Amino acid sequence: MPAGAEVGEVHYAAVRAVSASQNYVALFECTVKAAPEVVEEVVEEESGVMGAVITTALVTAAIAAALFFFVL
Amino acid sequence: MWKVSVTDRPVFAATSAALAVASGNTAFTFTGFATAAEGLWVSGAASVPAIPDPRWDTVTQSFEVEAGKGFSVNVNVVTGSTTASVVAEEDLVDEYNKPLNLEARSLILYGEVAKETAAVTTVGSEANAIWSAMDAATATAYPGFSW
Repeated sequence: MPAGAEVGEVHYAAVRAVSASQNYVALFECTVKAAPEVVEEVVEEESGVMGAVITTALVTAAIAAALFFFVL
Repeated sequence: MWKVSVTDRPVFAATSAALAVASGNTAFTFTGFATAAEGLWVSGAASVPAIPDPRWDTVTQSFEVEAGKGFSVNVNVVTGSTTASVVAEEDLVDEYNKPLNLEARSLILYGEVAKETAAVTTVGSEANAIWSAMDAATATAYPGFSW
């Protein structure tokens, strides 16, 4: 398809064939469609990852401390 | 007119695998002319059939292609001495003799499978290698076209 073809344009091509003394013709109808959009990958910030690690560690420590005093 | 290739590549070989195709190509291969799954061709028996009019006739294949991509057609029918050729743009008309494609927006033939006749050198004379239409499909080479 032409690089500058617009979405929705319709183009045709045809092929003739002869086989076993029989004549044939084929018509191909080609419609231009839009190229798929490129989805950019979202990169999570490093500080966000570190923050999640620290938060998890603090929560785990608090739960451990509570269990420790509860058992005692 | 039989055009070998717009690029006329020196490595062009008369096999279907060597057919020059555009990137992202949509390929169609026909092993017969009356197979519904592959697409039906119009048969005119001994006479040459008219090109179907897409307004009310069934086309062989209707599909979508991204701009800048292409498609190819291979006729892999070995039995019955099969030959094939592309309909010239000026002959690509409907039943009222109107062109099917918009002017200056026609598809460009990108590659064809053809037959190579090697160069022959004898004493005192020389015949250059030539490309020509395939005589007929064989077990390893058959007509193929890409746009």
